[in-house]
This record gives sequence, structure tokens and C-alpha cells, in this order.
Amino acid sequence: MAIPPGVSNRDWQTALQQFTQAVGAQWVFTSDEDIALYRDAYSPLWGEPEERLVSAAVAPDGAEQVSQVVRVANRFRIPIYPISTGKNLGYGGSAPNLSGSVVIDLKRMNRVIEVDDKRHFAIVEPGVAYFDLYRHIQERGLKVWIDCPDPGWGSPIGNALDHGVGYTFGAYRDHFHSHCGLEAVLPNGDVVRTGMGALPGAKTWAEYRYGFGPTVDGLFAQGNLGIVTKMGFHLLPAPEAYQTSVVTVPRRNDIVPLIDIVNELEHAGLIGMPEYSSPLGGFGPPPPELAELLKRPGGPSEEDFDRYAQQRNRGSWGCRLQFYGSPKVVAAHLEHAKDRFNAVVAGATFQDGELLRFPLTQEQLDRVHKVAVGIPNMSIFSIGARTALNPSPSDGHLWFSPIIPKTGEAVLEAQRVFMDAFAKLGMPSMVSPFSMPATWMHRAFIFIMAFPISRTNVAQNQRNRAAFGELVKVAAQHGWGEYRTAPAFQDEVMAAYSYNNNALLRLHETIKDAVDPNGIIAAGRSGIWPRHLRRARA
Amino acid sequence: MPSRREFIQAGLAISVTPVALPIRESVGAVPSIAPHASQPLYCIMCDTRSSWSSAFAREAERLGVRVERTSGDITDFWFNDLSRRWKDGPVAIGGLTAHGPLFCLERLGWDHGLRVVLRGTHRVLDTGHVEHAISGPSPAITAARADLAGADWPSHVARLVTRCPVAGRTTAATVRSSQPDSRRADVHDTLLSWVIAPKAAHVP
Repeated sequence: MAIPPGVSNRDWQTALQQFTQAVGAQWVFTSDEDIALYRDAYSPLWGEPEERLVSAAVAPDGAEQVSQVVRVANRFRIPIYPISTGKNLGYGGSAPNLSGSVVIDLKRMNRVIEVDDKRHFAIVEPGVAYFDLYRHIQERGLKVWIDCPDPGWGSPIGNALDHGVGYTFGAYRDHFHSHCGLEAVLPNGDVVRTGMGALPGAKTWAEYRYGFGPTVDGLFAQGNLGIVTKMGFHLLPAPEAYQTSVVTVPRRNDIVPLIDIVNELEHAGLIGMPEYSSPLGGFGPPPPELAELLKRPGGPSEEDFDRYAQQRNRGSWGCRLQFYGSPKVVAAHLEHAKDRFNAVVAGATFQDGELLRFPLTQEQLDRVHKVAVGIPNMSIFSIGARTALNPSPSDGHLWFSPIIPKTGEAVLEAQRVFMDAFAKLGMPSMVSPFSMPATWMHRAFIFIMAFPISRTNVAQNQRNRAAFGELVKVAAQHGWGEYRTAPAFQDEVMAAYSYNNNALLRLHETIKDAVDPNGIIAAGRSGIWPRHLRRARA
Repeated sequence: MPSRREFIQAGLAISVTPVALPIRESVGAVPSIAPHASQPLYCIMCDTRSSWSSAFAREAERLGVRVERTSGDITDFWFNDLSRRWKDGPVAIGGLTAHGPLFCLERLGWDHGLRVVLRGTHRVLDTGHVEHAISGPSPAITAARADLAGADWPSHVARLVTRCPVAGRTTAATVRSSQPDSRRADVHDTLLSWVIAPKAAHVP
């Protein structure tokens, strides 16, 4: 059994006894077999000495037990790392930043405390999965939707606290933005409630997020000042109907008005999540003629691209628009969207989907993009099979997720910058002149890429880690920063947020030292290390 | 429009090495388990994308085990069936599937006190032979070794999975089929055979 760093064997044994007193012997895990379950399944450091591993895990059943466990950890200066359902694959899983930390596994805290479908909110514990909340709503026939990520086995609280995102409507997709009020256990064991929750007997904890005074909720997201044990979320009133329409624009430069108009529609609340693509840049290797075009020195011109598209009677860019509401509202918003495109982009075309009324039939459910209508699922894991696109699948992936502006100019610039970066790295590019950003964020794009992870090819992992680090720097040089990353890269990403001699990190460290002087909670999370480890790393 | 699935496929297809989401488990040793009788399986899972898995399911059905079919997505089975059953108490399940279903079910099982106690990979080699690498309870693996070399290996795997005796010792074995398999063309992925059983059976 490993011992947490900086902890004597005697203190460790005493702490384990006290953890056991707090939660019961069956909820303290120290065997190799049990703690192996907390390895990051997609670790970019898999099998290397630097892989982040845990020493033990403790699973409390409520805020009071969390408080007891934290007090024990604080007494013996034991580093702890809270997880909810531990499914943060691609961004670190359930592994800590600091090897030897004790995982505080909150899966047993799986109570849905309240769902209100008149005022449209929920209050949940961290072990509640999206599936659980969805089931709670369905079994009671409540008229609200959740917004869930893909896959849906994660936790609303865990996802929100890592700034996770979903698929439906506006701000609901930004899961931390849609939270309202939280309860957290601080490093000294104190339990604090934020927003209206600070008012004993408050009636609007999950509705009015500010309460009174400075707002501190953000310090708990991607942070390490406490363990969140409850959280409220605003929910979307269940719409009556849903329809999609794919708008296609003919010319390469039409990307600029395309995105401008979609922004206008989305920010006005008329559409849900837009999904961009290029009809020219389908997946897989480009056809020979396009491959030749792309090999030209300096790349193809706009005219080349337009000619290529015209010859194939294809558009240059497309966007699937999603409309929610009553059938009348959906029809009106769709008509308005078409008017806007037709007024600005010559040659825009539309392909309308079927108007779906809820509840859906089984046949409709089978073909709808489930997360777009608030239904959690696991289908994304069925892509592991070999295909022509994916002939020798390997072991996982690591997301590189820079945030770029929501403009056509920014997308074209990101394409150029990252294609150049891959060329300089001597690697095949993950980006093409047709790559489009992910749109989970409401007010920004994520120009996301997936680096492969291998459990057997250490050299490949090392190359990809080096490339990842280089892309972080390249992105920062262009004003783009990652919104989220695995522990192995959190120092590098935080270092890129360096305005005024890293003033933000210095502020985080000041707060960390004040609230968690022993540095027990999630040391190193988001690059924020406690004082005693900061010195060692300097 | 691309789905997230297509997006990931595409992103990974053009990356340095093609990759898939789920971990591709090696046939690492499974943990030793306490001696007791074989676990009656709640059901077995058949991956309908593979004719081998279908043959496996037919044999399991003949042996009286309920079959759940999937084309890779476990959502319906998980949400409408297994998650409710495991809430009432852990029960063993088995399968011969591609990687995704096992990846998900194993992790979901961890949260309900279950572990993989038998794991096999069945991989088509360039020669067309099938290589079976299995780890699990010693007596079962030892007994099954010879049968796996034949063309009817999916039926033998069904018998191995459905009658998996849970014993204290585990072992690993690798067997190569004696003849190339003509059905290899329909294999979408390396298949995995598995049993997920209650952790209570583990040696403390």
C-alpha cells in the first residue's frame, strides 16, 4: 500500500483508522485491486513513473461524513482528491494531480434532493449521474429537460465543476453557468452554502444565484478550495416540439456571414446548439483531386475551393440549426432564420428535418440525436469497433481544447495556425481546411482535437505529450487558451494564462494559502499548488 | 452534419495513430477470487455485429441463459434493465462483445461491487488464424484450452462463460486456432469474452 507523500506511516495508519470511524470499514479502500480502479483509463502517462496514482480511497455518504473525512485529512496533512462519478475521460478521469492523494469518492452521495418543473430547477448530490436525474424526471412525468454531455454516465456536479458542456439550448449547455447555488466542505471541515443557500430556510437557493455579497461559486470549479456536496441547476422547460434545418452556403468566404447569422440567432435564443461542418471535407482521406489541390504550395486559393465545390454541386459550409418550442414557435423561428440567410448569403439552401413532437415514438427516439433532446446515453462507446476510418483502434484519447472566437475569420485562422503547427512538428495534421469547431460553448468555439493514447507505446505517448505542449504554446501566441485539460497539462495551460506576470495564478495561490493552509485538497488542480509543494516545484 | 461520433472517428483517423474511445484491454491477469460455485449469470450479452458473437449467443441460449443483444450501444440494457437489477444487488453477467460494451459495463460494475473475473481477447491475425488469450479461474481455463483451437470456438467460449467456475486461483492461457477462420471478414473488432461477477466472491 502506498503512503501519501509527506505523511509518516504512523500518521497514515491513524488517519486510516479515523477515516474508517467516519465512513465505515467497507468504504475505505486500500487494496491494490481497489485503488487501481482510480487510474485514469486514458492517462497520457500510462505505465510511466510520472503516472498519477492514488494511495487509497474513501467513500462518504453525506456532507457530514465528508466533513469528518476532511477534518481527519487536515489534521494529518493528507492530500485528498474529490471525484463524483470519476468519468472525466479525456480530461483526467478520476486520477489526481498529485500521486499518493487519497480519492474522496462521492458516488454514494447519489440523492436527487429536489426537482421542480414549475420553477425549473434541480438540486442534486455529486454521485447523481445524468442517467439518475433523467430517470427521476421521467418516472415522475416532470416537464423539464436536463442538458447532458455525451456520454451520459457522468455527474451533473462533476461535469459542471470541470466546466463541462452539453447539447441543447443556450446557457443550459454551459453546465457551470446553469448551476445555481452550491454546498461545499472547506479544508477545515466547515460546510458553506453559497448564494441564497447561505440564508437559513431560503426558498430560492436554486433560482437566484447571487444571494448577497461577493460570489464565490467559481472558486470551486476547476478549483481546490473545497468539496462540493450539493448543487442546484436551472433546467430547461420541456419543449413541445423540435426540428432541425441544415443551411448550406456555397462559397468559402460565406463562412463569415454564416457564423455571424448563426450567432445572432443563437444569442437571441432562437436556436439551440448549432453544428457546423463542411460538405467538402468529409471524414477520412480526401479524394485524389482534392488531395492534389491541398498539396499546392501555399495551399489552394479561395477561388480554387469555390471551383472545386461548384464542380461537385456542393456547398462549402453547412450548419445544422436546432429549433425548440411549440410547433408555432419552431415554424416562426425557422422562417425567420431562412429570411436572415436569404437576405445576406446568395445561394444559401436549406434542408428541413421532420417536426418532432414530444413524447417521441420509439422509432423517432432511435434516430434522433439523443443528447440534443436531453436524453443521456452511451452510444459513443460503440465507435470502438474497427472501421475504414479507424482501422486499428488503440487505447483512448486526450482532448486538446482551445477556445477561439465565434467568427469565420477565427476559424480560418485556427485552421491555418494549427496546420502549420503540425507541419512544424513533423506530424500528420489533425486539422484540415475544412475543420470546423465544436459549438458546445454558448459564446465561444472550441477548436477541439483528440490526441491518441496508447497503453503499450510509451514513445508515442511521449511524442504526443510534447506535441500537446507545443500546441498549448502556439494557441497562447494567438490569444487562444484551453478551457479544460488533464492533470498532466494543467501546469502548462495555467502558465499560458500569464497576464501581468501570472497575476491570476498568484491570486489563486493567495486564496489557496488562506483557505487551505495545509494544502490538502486537490493539490495542483488547474496548476494551483499549495505553498509547500509550490516551493518544491519552483 | 457530423455527429460527435463521426467527429471523433475523423479526428482520430487523421491523427498520428488511429484510435478509438474505449481502452483496449490486454488480457492482464484478473484478480483471484474466493472458491465457490459458478455464478448463475443474469444474462449474457451478444454483439450482433459479429457472427462469432451470434454463435456464442446461440449456444448460451441453448444452455438456458438469457441473451441481451447490442450493436455496440449498451444504453437501453443499462438504463432499462441492468442498472435497476444491480441496485437490488449485484448479479453476474457475461458476454462476447467488441470493446465498447465491456469497457462501459466493467466500469459501471465497479460502482456496484462487481469485477471482471474472466477476460479473453479473440483476435484475428494476419494469417486468418484466431488467437485466444484468456485469463480467469484456473480449472475453467485449463479445461477450455484445447477446445478453443477449433472452428467452433464461440460455442466453447459460451460454455466457458456460462459455466465459469469461480475458484481461488487464476491463470492465463493463449491458444491459436488450428485453421484460418473463414468468418473473419465480418469481424469489426477484436472480440472480448468476459464475466463480470460480484466482488463479494473475491479473496479479501
